[in-house]
Amino acid sequence: MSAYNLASLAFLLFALAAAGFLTCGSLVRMLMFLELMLNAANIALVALNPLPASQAYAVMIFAIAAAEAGVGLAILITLSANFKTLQAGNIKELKG
Amino acid sequence: MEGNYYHLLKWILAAPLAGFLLNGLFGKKFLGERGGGIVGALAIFISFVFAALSFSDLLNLPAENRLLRDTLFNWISAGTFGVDAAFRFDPLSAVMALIVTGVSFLIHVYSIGYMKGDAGYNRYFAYLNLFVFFMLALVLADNPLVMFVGWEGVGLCSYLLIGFWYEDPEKATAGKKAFITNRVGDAGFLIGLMLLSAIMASKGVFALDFETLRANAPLLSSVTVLSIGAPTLICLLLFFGATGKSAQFPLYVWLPDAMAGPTPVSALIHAATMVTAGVYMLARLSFLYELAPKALEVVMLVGCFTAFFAAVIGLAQKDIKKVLAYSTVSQLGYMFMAAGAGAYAASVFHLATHAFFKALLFLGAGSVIHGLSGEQDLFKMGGLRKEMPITFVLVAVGWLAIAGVPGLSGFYSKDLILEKVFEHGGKFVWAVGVITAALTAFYTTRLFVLAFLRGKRGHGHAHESPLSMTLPMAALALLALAGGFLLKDRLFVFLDPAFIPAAHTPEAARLMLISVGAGLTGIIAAFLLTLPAPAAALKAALPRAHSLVFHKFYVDELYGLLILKPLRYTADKVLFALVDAGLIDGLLVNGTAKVSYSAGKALAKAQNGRLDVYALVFALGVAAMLYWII
Amino acid sequence: MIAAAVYFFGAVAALATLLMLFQREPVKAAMLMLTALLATAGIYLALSAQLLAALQIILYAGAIMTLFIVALTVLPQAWRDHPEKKPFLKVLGLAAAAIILTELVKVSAVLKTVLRSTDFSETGALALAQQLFGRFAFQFELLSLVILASIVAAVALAAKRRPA
Repeated sequence: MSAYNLASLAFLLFALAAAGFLTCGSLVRMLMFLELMLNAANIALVALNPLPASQAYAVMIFAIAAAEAGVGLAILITLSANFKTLQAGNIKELKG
Repeated sequence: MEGNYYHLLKWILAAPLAGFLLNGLFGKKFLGERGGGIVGALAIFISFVFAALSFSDLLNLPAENRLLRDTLFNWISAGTFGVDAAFRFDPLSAVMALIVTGVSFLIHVYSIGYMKGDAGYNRYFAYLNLFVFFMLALVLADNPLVMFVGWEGVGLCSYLLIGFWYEDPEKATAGKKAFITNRVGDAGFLIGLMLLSAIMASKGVFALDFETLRANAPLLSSVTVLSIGAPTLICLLLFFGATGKSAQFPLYVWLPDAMAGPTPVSALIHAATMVTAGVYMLARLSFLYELAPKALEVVMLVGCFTAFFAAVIGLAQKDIKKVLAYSTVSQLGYMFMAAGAGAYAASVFHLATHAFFKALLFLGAGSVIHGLSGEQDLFKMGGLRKEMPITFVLVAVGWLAIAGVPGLSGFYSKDLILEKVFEHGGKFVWAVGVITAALTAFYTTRLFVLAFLRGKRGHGHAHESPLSMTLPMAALALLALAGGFLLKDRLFVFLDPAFIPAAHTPEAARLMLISVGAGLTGIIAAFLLTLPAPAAALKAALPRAHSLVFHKFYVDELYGLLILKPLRYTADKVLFALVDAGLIDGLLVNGTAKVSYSAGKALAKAQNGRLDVYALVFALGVAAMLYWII
Repeated sequence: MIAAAVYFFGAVAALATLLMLFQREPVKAAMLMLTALLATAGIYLALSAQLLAALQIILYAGAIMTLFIVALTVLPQAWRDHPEKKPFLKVLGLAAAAIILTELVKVSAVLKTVLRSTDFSETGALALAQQLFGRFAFQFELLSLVILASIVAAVALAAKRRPA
């Protein structure tokens, strides 16, 4: 098993999550796929080089992912309170 | 060069130009009616005086080098091609200048009385002065390009003066017709001129003044363009321009319509001066035409046909001015016949006498119209002998002159033309000329009889014209009476120093008798056929022929169908609708705007405020970038 | 053996993500996400990153997943797509993902020569800890600040405004 295989696996997971992210219309769904994308990146980080440093980096990315999920959900709750909807298509304040 | 920088030439030109500027710019406010007329006539008188002084200076020179030149400024200088604004005064120019300024002066005086009370009085005199300026530029020019400036300028003034009463759409249209028909001829003239200068340049001759052209003309004989000899082609093209300017077939159609202008304008421009520009051009470029005998034949035949054709149409016209218009076309045909037979001096002689008696006839017609307060229909006139006696006598002189009655000017010139044509051109052309002489006598007598003799026919009281109108007519009548035998040999010697007056051969005497006989036949026939009974019988016998002749052989309608309609169709449907509105407006201008707008709208769709679409675009961008990098 | 484990867990994760694309109900989708995250933990295990596997389960499958379950509970209608996205845009999204995948795979072809060992190795928790608290101590401390910031932001955003 070469690094190529591992890399391809990680990229496959990333692409699937990206496909889901780009084809959904609901913001919550987007956030979930976003986490999966980050997760796939993590796998790539760990799989491609067995150094402890890369694992340390992976830990840091865990933390960031958690923080980002928290803030993201807070934003979603605020959005749903203000716009009464969580569809990306309905929130068009930035249009133009 | 002989006689350079003769100083008077520019003053001959400057006086009418000054008159134009004064009347044009300051006429209405400062000069008013009286001042305007005096300024206009005075300007021409000054010009005439200067022309006469130049003439006497010319006479003082020895006969072989009678040439006075003046160069005003360098007009065009483009590499090897250079043209100066130069003027020349040689015998031919002298004759033309004197005729132009002299007859113009008389007509200006006449106009002072004729145009009295008209709202555009000052404008009239301004245009008339401008016309004289351009005509003098034409006859005094030293190279064909300055001549062309005058050529175009007189066309412009003709348009301005024909459409002088521009509020009437018919009159304005007549002016347009004159200008456009002239333009068509001018296209040919210009192409001929371009050919001439191009071929000359290819032979190394870059100066275009007439002396150089005359000296180098034989160089053209060796060149052929489109398998026609260069001299022939150039002469034909220049003659095409002359048919436009001098109203020959096929471009004569503007002259009868030009009668819509004031009568003094018809007298000056369309009898004595502008229409003679073509004849002058032929005489001036005679050295070129001598190299192209085929072109000369064409000239003669066209002149002969036009003379006959116009005379026939003139037989049945009702309007007094139209009869005189067709008469002018016919007499110009005579001049071209003479030129075509190589007798340029004879054509200039006829030009001079024609100027006298035709201007006189036109002024007389104007006097009649003025006296009858605008009536122009011959069949509503009659019996004016008693009511306008002075006009009657003076017009009678003009009538006798044009009919070729022996002793008067018309007799000498017309007879000479017919003699020359018989010598050089052949019997057929001469026979047509004789028949046309008979027709000329006929229609002029018809005009005279219907207007002045017999009984009154339905008009009110006519008053005689004022002195300002009858005095110029009297001067012209004197010239028409005496001009013939005074000028006869002197003119020829003056124009061509090598001329020897020929003795009268019995052949010539016989020809003269025939032509005089034809004239008298015409006169008598007219007297008889204008009596009510024979006239009605003739009309009843040949109704179709009469209608055909009366409607001028439907030539205008033919032109409208063949030329105007397709042109108008092309202009409206093809060029306007398709090209202008469709292609340029629709596709190029509006189309570009639409493309920009649509592109903008399409691009704006990417900015719709939706996060997922933004993410999509972002991802697409990343994909594209990866694709290009990897 | 290790390879087989990696492939197995990878396939599970991929399948779970794929099924999530077409899932209509929120709860099932959350379960699938959990599966994917747990499969990732399995991959870490197979790759001898035991601490990471544990952290993955604790943080991702534990904390983050819980957050999402809470969100889906509070806003259950948020999972559905109303209105459906236009098919054109969906196709574009799939195409973009596909292109990214192919390009990344292409670029990683150079890694074919780098072989990984298929043996299970010792747990490297000590080495990891030495890295985390030694070399990357500054970044580690910054991370705590990041988490603090996110807590503050979340509270500030989502808390109800109390009338002052």
